[in-house]
Amino acid sequence: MREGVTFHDGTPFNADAVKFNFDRISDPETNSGFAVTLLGPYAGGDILDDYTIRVNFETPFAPFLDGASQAFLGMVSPTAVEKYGEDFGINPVGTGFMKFEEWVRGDHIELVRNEDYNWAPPIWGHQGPAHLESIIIKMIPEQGTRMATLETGETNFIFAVPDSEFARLAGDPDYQIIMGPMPGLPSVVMINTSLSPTDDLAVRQALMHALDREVIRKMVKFGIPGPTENPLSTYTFSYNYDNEGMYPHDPDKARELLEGAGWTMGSGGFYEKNGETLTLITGLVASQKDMLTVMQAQAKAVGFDWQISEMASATWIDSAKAGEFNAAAIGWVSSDPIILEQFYHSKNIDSGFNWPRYNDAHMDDILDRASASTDAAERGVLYAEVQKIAMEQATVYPVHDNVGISASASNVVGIVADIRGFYHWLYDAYIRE
Amino acid sequence: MKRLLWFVLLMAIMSVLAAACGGTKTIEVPGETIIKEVQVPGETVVVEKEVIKEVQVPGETVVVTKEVVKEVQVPGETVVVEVEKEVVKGGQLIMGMQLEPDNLDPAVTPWAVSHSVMMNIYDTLVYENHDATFHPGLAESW
Repeated sequence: MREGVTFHDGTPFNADAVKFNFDRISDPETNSGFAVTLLGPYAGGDILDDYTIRVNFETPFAPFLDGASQAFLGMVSPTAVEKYGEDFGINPVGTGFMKFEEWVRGDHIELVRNEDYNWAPPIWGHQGPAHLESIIIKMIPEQGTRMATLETGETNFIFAVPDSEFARLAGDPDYQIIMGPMPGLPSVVMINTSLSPTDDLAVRQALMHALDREVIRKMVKFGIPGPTENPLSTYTFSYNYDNEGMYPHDPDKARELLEGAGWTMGSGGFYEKNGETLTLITGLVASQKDMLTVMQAQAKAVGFDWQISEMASATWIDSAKAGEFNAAAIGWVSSDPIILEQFYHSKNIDSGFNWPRYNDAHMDDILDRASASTDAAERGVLYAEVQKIAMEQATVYPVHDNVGISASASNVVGIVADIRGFYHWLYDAYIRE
Repeated sequence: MKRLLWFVLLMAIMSVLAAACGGTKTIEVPGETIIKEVQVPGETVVVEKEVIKEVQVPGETVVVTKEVVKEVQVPGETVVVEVEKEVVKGGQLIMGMQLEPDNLDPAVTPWAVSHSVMMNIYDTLVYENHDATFHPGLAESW
């Protein structure tokens, strides 16, 4: 550990503080929402001296450094945790370049510059305190309103620019667009392998051939993000290029597969078998509606009766986890391909995000070996194999990469989207006068 | 694909034609550099200045480059002195965010919007660069 670092409340940072943080995250009492998964099979820390800690794991855990680079494993002040108890989350104290100043619920959070900051990571652009004197974070949920605040100067940096506004902002010299390619699970539709009729491989493969990601990408996303043909975005380590071209858009091929599996065209324009219509059930949340509506029409042209219905996000997640949908859309930002474990390991059926409900000992074994391996080349081969099986078994229809689109006034300098695309390094940023 | 998305944030090409009549002339390029010309009376100076700054590659890095091209038409009689203008780097960033964080305790919150705020308040043990390599943060070595 670096020496001479202090938390905003004056508490010194050292190996004890690291152990305190990791022990606290793994303590069930903390009820950790995500950080605990980044620690994997954490099995305690040994303090070797004031500035050295050995972190133990029950089994090898390759993605630890990836987790340790995320703010979810950011170091909090042990003294402040003791002082504030359950209210620490609204009185945050760290060692970072900004200090928490105030939080007006529903309105804004204010951070002010840490004048003592003298331990910037060497990969950033300077040393010493940050350039910005303060950062105000305003909560503006409605995207049109958010855009308007940038144009009136009420804000000078906004998150989640609508795709429809991209071209206009990009062409306006008063603004700059900051794009961040997001690795991890791209925008996909997971296909349930255990619910009729998608429990039949031929039906799943027919659906893959019925859909056309290029049309979806252009109609719904204005062609901004690129296509992907794996359950990983093209920016993600181990992306399997060999799988590209496996399921070209081919309605005739889709019909051939269905007819080969015993489906016949019924009078209503939908395929039927044993008196049952070829019906797919999908629940969705508002943000997915445009994409799924286009896909629904593409599938209908082949003879699928795809029924989609909008629901509240909590209901949607619960139903998807319970395997009640034949298909459901999702995406997940992750800088490591270990995210595939969430979607394909049998331990994550019901409890996690194995929405394809893919239950296969061989797949589990590959995923276990990949997360335990510390050999990057070996991990790359194993995760490429996971993608190959996922695609051959038609468990997922990958649509497009995800790209974070933010925008700032043109006098804001030095904002950098980090590797996860969704987050920004602001330490080197400043406002040009 | 990514290469196609380069954004040139500022590209200023300035040509300055100055009919010199002695003394010192200062040309100020807003926020960037100051060019001072110290001249001998009766001569003519042409200064061409090209500044290309801050090419942002989305998701990768911000590259700051500067090129200055000067042509002094009357060598030996005109001295062109360029000095860096002191840029005051400060200000207030006012971010418009789509969702409010539930809390800012990194051990507890699972939300990306919380992460966006927390990464300014907390340091991490290591930092991951855009090429997926890890670099020292609060941890010097491992």
